[in-house]
Amino acid sequence: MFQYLILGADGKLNLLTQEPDLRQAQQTFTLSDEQIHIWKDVEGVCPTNKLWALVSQLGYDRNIAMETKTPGLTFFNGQSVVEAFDQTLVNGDSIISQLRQDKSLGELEMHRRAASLSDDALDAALAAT
Amino acid sequence: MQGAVFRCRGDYAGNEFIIGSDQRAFLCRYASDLRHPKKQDQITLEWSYAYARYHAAMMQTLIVETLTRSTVSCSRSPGGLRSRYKARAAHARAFGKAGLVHARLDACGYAMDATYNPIWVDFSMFYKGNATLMHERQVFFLHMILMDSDSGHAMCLGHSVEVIASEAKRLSRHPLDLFEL
Repeated sequence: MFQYLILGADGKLNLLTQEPDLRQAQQTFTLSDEQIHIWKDVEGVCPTNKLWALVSQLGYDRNIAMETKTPGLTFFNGQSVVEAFDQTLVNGDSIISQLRQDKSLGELEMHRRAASLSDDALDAALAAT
Repeated sequence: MQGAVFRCRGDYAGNEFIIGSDQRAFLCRYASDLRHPKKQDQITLEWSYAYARYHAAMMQTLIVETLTRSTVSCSRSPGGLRSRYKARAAHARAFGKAGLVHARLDACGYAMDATYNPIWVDFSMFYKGNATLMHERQVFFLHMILMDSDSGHAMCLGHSVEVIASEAKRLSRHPLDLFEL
């Protein structure tokens, strides 16, 4: 499984993913169909070349950063991304981490709701003990 | 607990619910072989409701009948402690004063999700020297973990907090008290 989310300095998001994840993205992501791009898994295909092609097609040609401190990225895929680009990729860990940890109001509401329901789960544990 | 989550239209969490009694109450990773607690026992729970990968993790040791009270409850919030290393230092000092250095874990928290593969931890941890600042509109899981292998007692409390101005607002309605059943 190889999927990548591209965040431009213009704030635009584009996803490169596989067909089984197309409907998942349509139904559960905040992306329109134009922002979802599919690469097909066939013998000999290199998804990281597809990533490079998509990034170029979107008009991003310099100052490209890559998030590496993520549990979902294997060493193999990480190396393959580095090799696919014709330029040195900047380390984007601090940028992405900061963006992810700064929550929108909608996200904060999700956490608050989750906490209320985590409390319900503890009540269930207390009742069962 | 998982049933309560499903009843409220929740999902499987990014990490398994950690449920351990007796010596397993020392564990903060999932382990197989769940067992019923003894008549007098301790149970450590670490769990989170999850919806669309958003979590609010919590951790609590329950006392089943009264054991010797050799543990303390630490609930210090990071109000005014903007750097993660300062929050960790406050945690270390509090347990140092209580003579529990041997039982505490060194780090004491991390940011809450949403990362892939699904995991509710958004690194980095609140470890020594971590100068990353905490800001408004961020959500953290702060855990105070005591696992005293010498006495055989565990006492863990973890709660999710939202940073509001210079305060950390608890997101749980449960009190910080000991849970004695």
